Parts: sequence; structure tokens; C-alpha cells
Amino acid sequence: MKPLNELSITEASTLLASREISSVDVTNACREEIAKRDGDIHAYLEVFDDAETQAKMADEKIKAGSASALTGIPLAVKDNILIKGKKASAASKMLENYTATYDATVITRLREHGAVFLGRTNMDEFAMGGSTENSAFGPTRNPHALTRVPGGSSGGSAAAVAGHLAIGGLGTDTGGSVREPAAFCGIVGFKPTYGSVSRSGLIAMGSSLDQWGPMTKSVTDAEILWNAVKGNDPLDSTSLPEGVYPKRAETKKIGVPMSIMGGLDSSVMENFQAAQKKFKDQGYEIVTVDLELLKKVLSIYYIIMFAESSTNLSRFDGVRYGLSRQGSDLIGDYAASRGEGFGTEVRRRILLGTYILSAGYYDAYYGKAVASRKELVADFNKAFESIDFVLTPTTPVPAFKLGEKTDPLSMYLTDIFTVTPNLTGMPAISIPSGTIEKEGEHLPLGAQLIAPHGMDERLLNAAKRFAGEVK
Amino acid sequence: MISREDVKKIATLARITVSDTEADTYAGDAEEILSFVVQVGGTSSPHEGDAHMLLTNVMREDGVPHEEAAYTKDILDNAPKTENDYIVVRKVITKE
Repeated sequence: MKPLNELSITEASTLLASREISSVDVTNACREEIAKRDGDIHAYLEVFDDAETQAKMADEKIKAGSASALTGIPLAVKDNILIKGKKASAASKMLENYTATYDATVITRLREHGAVFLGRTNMDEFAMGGSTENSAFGPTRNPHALTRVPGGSSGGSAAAVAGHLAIGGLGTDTGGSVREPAAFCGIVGFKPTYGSVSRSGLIAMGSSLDQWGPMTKSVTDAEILWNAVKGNDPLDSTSLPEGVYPKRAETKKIGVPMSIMGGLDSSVMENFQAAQKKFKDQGYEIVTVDLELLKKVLSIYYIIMFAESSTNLSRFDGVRYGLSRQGSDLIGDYAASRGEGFGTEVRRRILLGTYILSAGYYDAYYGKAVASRKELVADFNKAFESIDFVLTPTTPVPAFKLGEKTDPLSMYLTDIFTVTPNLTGMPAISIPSGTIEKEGEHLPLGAQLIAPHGMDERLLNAAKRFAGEVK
Repeated sequence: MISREDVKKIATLARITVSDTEADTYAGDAEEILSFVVQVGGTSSPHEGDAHMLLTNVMREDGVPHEEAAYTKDILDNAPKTENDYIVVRKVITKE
């Protein structure tokens, strides 16, 4: 048997059900690995001291015969997902001492299954970034290459799962924050259809873009987590009831938007061609799709995200919770608290959002971006009349080195393939597509498969075949 | 061109203090980022793009969502300054 911390959810669950191992065994195996390696990786901001107590309760549940596939499974939880009574800081000085007053709906639902919450993981502050270097508490490192970033913003959860410091992980995805770190760390990252999972209790960034997502060692594991948490929730009015979107007839065709592949490095392109061939071997026809607006998705995304995040972050005023500093008057209190509590990238985005939404610029930026976003959704819906999925690489590059991208715009450009499903609200998954060699290191890459609204199950089934998990 | 003064003005609107050096850095970044994102174009008239997107309002019935004071203690524990069961805020109206 492999070391218990290296098990997938599916494997651990089988062994737990047959009582060959206990949840305490697997939880402590993860904790021991954390003690050994997390000094170097820094995936966790806090390992919960009640993890073993939770595991014992799960073992009771298994003994009582009321277990599910997630009972007793230790999970790494991104630091922007609220767990009642635990700190939730979004890796920001602003919320360094904030204690969650309620459970996020995803946590409530996982609790019902008896999942074990192992600890809270590092991230880019308020989920703003693609490398986890923007954390106020220091960066996380890629377990495959410690000089490199794990991706972000859910970099801590990705590194925890890839480094076997947890059995599965939870993230959130606003523009690729689950899929990009999954690709950089060689694991599976899934962003479901917008509205399929409640956002209640997730610290908001861009509310029309944010979605919860699982980060796992297999596609089957991602599906297990998603099935446990999905479904309409009265606490999130954008969460959807079943059957909102129509089922689509299967075409067995996958579209590739060749027009945006121009700048790809040859090794990344070769890896992507191999992924296409793998789908071909499974009976899919690969066709070129012409989606002209894909060239503008980064502009559309960044305008909408700046606007929505500056709006969402206006709630931090140093009065009700969070960091509080005194200024000369009330307005001065706000400015001092926000000036000190938010890090460089967060303040940059708030300023850009405020500019974009200000009178005189609103129409030129935000108005146009919203109009273009609608056109993009229409273009994708039309394309999906004749294809089942759109396939792209998850990222244009493998994991880069810490400190390599100092200019904010160059960091934004790595999101070229991942922002589109957030803009359209469509489901997308990053599946490991092998490694490429760079400077003597073998670095993972991912293939991204995008499906129409509500076709999450078909997407997961295709991904499972790609990953060789089913025939 | 975005100047240091522009950034300072935006920072006032955003209720954030920024130093002069920071304002200069942000001005440079904003220039670069905004000239990139302005390529958004958009063939429709901006006014066609209403902010409501594809979402509709979902309302709940009026009623008591939870028992009284169920969260009061936890919420007050997070507040920087409290008195009895209240959060202390600074005086808003001042004498000229």
C-alpha cells in the first residue's frame, strides 16, 4: 500500500469503508507530511488543532454505517472559505484576525458528509493573482520545483494536494484561480457552471465571476466533491435549481480556437497537440472554431473584475470587522485602515476599478466590457450547437520562477485561456497533460476543456476518459 | 496620461491612503494596464450592455431568518470597538 497521505479521495474512501485504515490514520499521515515538508512549501497558513477530533468523529460515523465517499477524508481549505469559529483571512492583513461567524454552504454540506478540514491554505491576497506571491503571509512554492510558483490564487490548496499534504483541496476560481494552479502543480482543477455551487460564505472578489471549485488527484475525486456541495441554496440567490439549462445532443466534436494559439512556446504547443491526439483516439473529431472575441477576453475580464472587486472590497471600512486604524476623522479612519490593511495588488485593483467606474469613463470601459461579455456568451452558445467542448491549454506557460513576473500586466497575460469560462459562466476543467522540460526540471502542464452551461457531467465524463480513469 | 494627482484623486474616492512614491508607481501601472484593456472595443452601443446580465432578482419571503441574537456575540467579537451590544463608530456630524 502507498503511504496514506498519497491516496486519492477514491482510494482512501475504499480503504476507510473496508475499515483497513481509519480517518485518524490518514489525517495524521497528512499532518506528519505537513510537519516534514510544509516548512519548504508553505501551503498552509494554519493547520487546525481539532483535525484529529474531526477524524475521530468521522471514524464513529463510519462505524455506525452512515458513511459516504467523503467521510473521514482530510481536505485542504482555501483561506477565503468560511469555517465557523476558524480564522479566514483571505491571506490579507485586513482580515488577519477575523474569525468566521458562520459556515460557508460548501462547508456545511461537506460537514454533513463527515469530511475532515485539515487546515486553511495560502492564496493571493483576496484571490487577486496567479502565483500566490501576493499573499500577505509569504509565498507558497511549487512542490515539483521549489524555486517556482504553484500558480494562484488557490496556490496553497494546489501545492497541498500535489505535495500530498492533503487528500483533496478546495479552491475558488474568478479567472482561473482553481485551474491555473492545478495545471502548474499537475493535479485536476474544476470550475463548475456559474450558479451550480453556492457562493455563500466565500469571501467575494468578482461576484459575477466567482465560483467554488475542487482541486484533486483525479477527475473522479473532483466529481465526488462537486456532487457533495452542488445545488440550489437559499443563501445565494445566484445559485441555480436543477434543470435550468437545456440538455444538448452529443456531437462527438471538440473545437480548438486556433486563432489565439499564435504566441505559444513550441514545447507547450507540442504538449497541446498530444492532448488533441488523445481526444481523437477516444473518437472525438477535432475541428477549428472561429471565436473572434477570444482576442479580447483579457480586456473584458480585467475591466469587469476591477469594477466588481473594487465594489466588493468597499465593505472593508475598519468599523465592523477587520483591521482598524485611526485617521483625523471618519473618512481618515477608512483611508488609514484600507491603506494599511490591503496589499499592493489589492490596492492597485481597487484604484483601477474606481477609475473605470467613475463618471466619464464608465461607458468607455465597463459599459463596453459588459456588452462584449454578452456577445461572447452568444458566440459560445452558437459554437456549442455543433461541438461538445472547446479545448485549449490551461496556461500558455508552465510554472514560472518566484519573482520572475514583476510587472502586473505580464502576470495578467497568463490568464489568457482561463478567464473565458468565468466570463461566460460555463464549466471548465484543467486535466494534467504531462510535463515539459525546462532548465532541467520537469514541469506539469494542463489541458483545459470547456463545456456549455449545465453540461458539467458530460465534461467530467470526457475528462475521466482523457485521464484514463474510465474506458 | 495618468498623473500622480489623478491617482491621488482616485485614491480619495476609493478611501485609500497612498504615498507619493506609490502614487507614481500606480500611475505608471494604470497607464499600461488601461491602454491594454481599452482594446475591449465593443461593437454594441455601451448602453445595450446593462449591468444586469442574465440574472434576475430572487426574493425571499419576509420572516424571521434565525432566532434573535444568534450571531450577536460572534459578530461583536470581530468588531474593533464595542460598547454593550453596539459597535462604536466615530461621530459623523461635526460642528463647523
